[in-house]
Amino acid sequence: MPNNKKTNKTIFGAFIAALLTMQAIFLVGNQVHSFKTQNGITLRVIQDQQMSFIHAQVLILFDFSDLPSSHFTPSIPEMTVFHLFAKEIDEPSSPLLRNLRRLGGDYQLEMKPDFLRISLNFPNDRLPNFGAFLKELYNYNHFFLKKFNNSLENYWSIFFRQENWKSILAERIGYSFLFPDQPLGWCFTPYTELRQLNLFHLRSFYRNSFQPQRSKVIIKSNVNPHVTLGLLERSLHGSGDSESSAITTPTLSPQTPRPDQHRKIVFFAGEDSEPPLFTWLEPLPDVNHPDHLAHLTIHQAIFAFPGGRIYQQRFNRFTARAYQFTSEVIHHRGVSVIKHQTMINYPDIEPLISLIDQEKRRLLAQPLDRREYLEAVNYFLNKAKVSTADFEQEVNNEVFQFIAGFNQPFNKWLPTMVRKLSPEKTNNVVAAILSSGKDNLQTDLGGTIVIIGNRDPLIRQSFSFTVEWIRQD
Amino acid sequence: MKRTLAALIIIGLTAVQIPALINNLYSFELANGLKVFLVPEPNAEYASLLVYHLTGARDEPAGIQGASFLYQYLIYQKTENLEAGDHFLIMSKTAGAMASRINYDYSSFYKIVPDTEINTVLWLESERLRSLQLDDHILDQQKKLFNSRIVRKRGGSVENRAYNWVHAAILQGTAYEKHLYEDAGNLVNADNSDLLKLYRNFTDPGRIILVISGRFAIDELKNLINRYFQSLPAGSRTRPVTFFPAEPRREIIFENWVEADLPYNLVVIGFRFPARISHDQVFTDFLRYYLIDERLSRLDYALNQANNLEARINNDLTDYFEANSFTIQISTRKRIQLEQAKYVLNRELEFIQGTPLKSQDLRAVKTLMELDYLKNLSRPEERSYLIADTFHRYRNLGHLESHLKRIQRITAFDIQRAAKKYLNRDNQVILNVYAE
Repeated sequence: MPNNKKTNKTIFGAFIAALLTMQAIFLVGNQVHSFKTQNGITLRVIQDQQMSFIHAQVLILFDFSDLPSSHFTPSIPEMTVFHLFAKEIDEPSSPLLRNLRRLGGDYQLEMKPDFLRISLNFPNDRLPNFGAFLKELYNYNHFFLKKFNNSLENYWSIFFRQENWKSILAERIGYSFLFPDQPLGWCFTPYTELRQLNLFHLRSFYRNSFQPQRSKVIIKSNVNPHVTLGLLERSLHGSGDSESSAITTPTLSPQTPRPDQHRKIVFFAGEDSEPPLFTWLEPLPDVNHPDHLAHLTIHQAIFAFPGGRIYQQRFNRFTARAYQFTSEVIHHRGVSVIKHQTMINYPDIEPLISLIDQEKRRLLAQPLDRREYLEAVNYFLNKAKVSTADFEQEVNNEVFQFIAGFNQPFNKWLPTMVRKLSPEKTNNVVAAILSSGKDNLQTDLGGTIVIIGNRDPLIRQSFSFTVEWIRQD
Repeated sequence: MKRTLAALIIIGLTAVQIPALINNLYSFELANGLKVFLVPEPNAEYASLLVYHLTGARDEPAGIQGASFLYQYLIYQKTENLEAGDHFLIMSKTAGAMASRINYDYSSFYKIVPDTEINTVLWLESERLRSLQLDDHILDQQKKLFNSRIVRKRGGSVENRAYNWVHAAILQGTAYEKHLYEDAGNLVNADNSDLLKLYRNFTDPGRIILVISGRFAIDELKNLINRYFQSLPAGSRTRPVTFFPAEPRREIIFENWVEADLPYNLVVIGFRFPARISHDQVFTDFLRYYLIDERLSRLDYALNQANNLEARINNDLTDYFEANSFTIQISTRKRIQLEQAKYVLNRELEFIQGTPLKSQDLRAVKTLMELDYLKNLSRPEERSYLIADTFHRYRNLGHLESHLKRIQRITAFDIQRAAKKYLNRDNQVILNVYAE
């Protein structure tokens, strides 16, 4: 009979050795140059001699200190960004959008409750235009009443025209239920309450948040970093105040919400005829917390397709229909949020929720074994390597560092965290989570579930749990 | 001895010069006719493999249409060393990703993994090519499963049905008239021996191009390629394929449908666009960017900003070598809005045909086209596909460089000429779908 214990130890030893090698490999890459501009922008230039265009990202961390504490507050950051960037309401034409067009118009906005990320691609010869764009971003003075009224009038119709509106909306609704009394939860406003905003709210929020000191700019291309800095300094000359104080971070809760908080299940009832979008959101300790990776490992062991526990039950209907979750971790200062999404058929909503709960509870009786643990951790390490295929990846890592207030590069963080983790530590985290929510184990396991679907079939389904309803109209 | 043999089998490893766009592109051919392109990226930590088959749905004989589409579901079946589904499990453990494209003109299978797993993906693909075990039981089972998938797709939304109808009308009389899986329902009754005969095309090394990108040692990789692929029996030597570009249509087609319980009204307007081998393709691509691309959104501006019609706009362009269908789909809540939208669209189309574009519009579109092309060359999946596809169409890669130059040289008059040729009324198929 083979000695399984010994074999496992050997595999584990080999795994650790492989990790050490990987850490050395992670250090290979392009040269990164760090600067601070005179007006306080943190600038990183990643010199990549293979790139024949410029990829840049601009990050703005929001300042919530001056926001009124009111039920319409959530719409202020969103409507400010909408006012600045929506092409559909750009009348009269704003210099900010004109500058974006001059750069080539290839840009994307990612709006989260606590930050805005602008990703741009442009030809190398338009670097001076990028400087002009940044200058306009920090000195925007195009707040007009007519445009503002247009924003209010058209916001939702434009929102629903986006291709991925369901995913964005599910996340926002989820955050508003996960963090009800904190700035992170200020990201969803029902239609009727938009009317209570005024232009002053937007202007004031803009002035506080769109400051060079609250920004990070990352540029990746085959450019000379010092020439790049010089060009940007020339464009930005006179904008912003170099003496301004350092970033005051959003007042986010440093505590991870506990899973013993009552779970909310929210239905957004619309008119869409597609199968509903099922979104599972759960807060985790932030990346600086020693248990962060243990939490990710647990989620991986449960949700990963096809090896995760929810797919292991023979003949369960989710395996048969191959509902494959896509998972994403969203980082913030003080907390991370894991999001699992899949399209689902209406009758499967309740069984799916029960199955996930059942598998989470089963972690106490049947802790993660070494195989599950190694598969999850290997997955993270391998995923990091595969993602080097994306030209945006190094820039994303810089962004991640800034958003999460993280003090070491991601490519060093992951191997370090993996070396500190073990199956035993992971199972201790599981035990701590489940025992802290012991009283609720038979009812719910925290987090928030958002389902975006058609109102008729949603109403026709009977559910054994309590549901919050939001209607599209 | 083995090494010497391997070196002999590889015929002429050559560096292909695509200056400034793709650094270090190498190519060679095995004795059995399999063509290989290597794009080493020493700073990356991934490896990707594209297996591009110079065979597609157009090679399907009558009676087994849809068989190429079915093949993408068969590749995870049992092989000499793998049980059914192992292929998928192994890939998921590497944290890698897979994608497949089945087309009339080609079929391709792409995988990306950590660089340490390059051996694994080469082996997986060689298993598929050497020893995929498709017996009657498996084929019958998969044909039934495939049929239920197709029934689900075909019985889908009104938009899908409308799109399929317009697509067929646009490409009437070409090799692409039927949708890839339109007749696939009949596949259940197809003779398995006919399927297996067709699937031999997929194992013919003379009809395969491999493109490998990422971090690897070239010599080691060459040895791996030899180990896994040289034993494939030599197949047909690929002859330069001749493609015949189809001309635009000469007669407009109209159709109206009325649908119950439809919460909106819809129009699908289709145009026959030039072949991908045609010189006009770059100009019609420009027109698509100008009209539809959401970053420029000329049509969105005209419909929703200038006329406030609250219209939802979708589009689709096929990817065929000899003729293509370009469709614009506009939906509105009220019928009056739809009629206004069609009027506005027609005016836009007439304007482009009658007036040369302003230089700033020309510059804006060209910048986006250039950027997208350069971005594609930076992404391993798209770049691998571009390399294989370009080689398939032209038997050399010079076009990769010249395509960028062609974009840069586009003039307003080129666009006006292309608009007159491809956006005119006679080249349109219009389907109105009204709510009852």
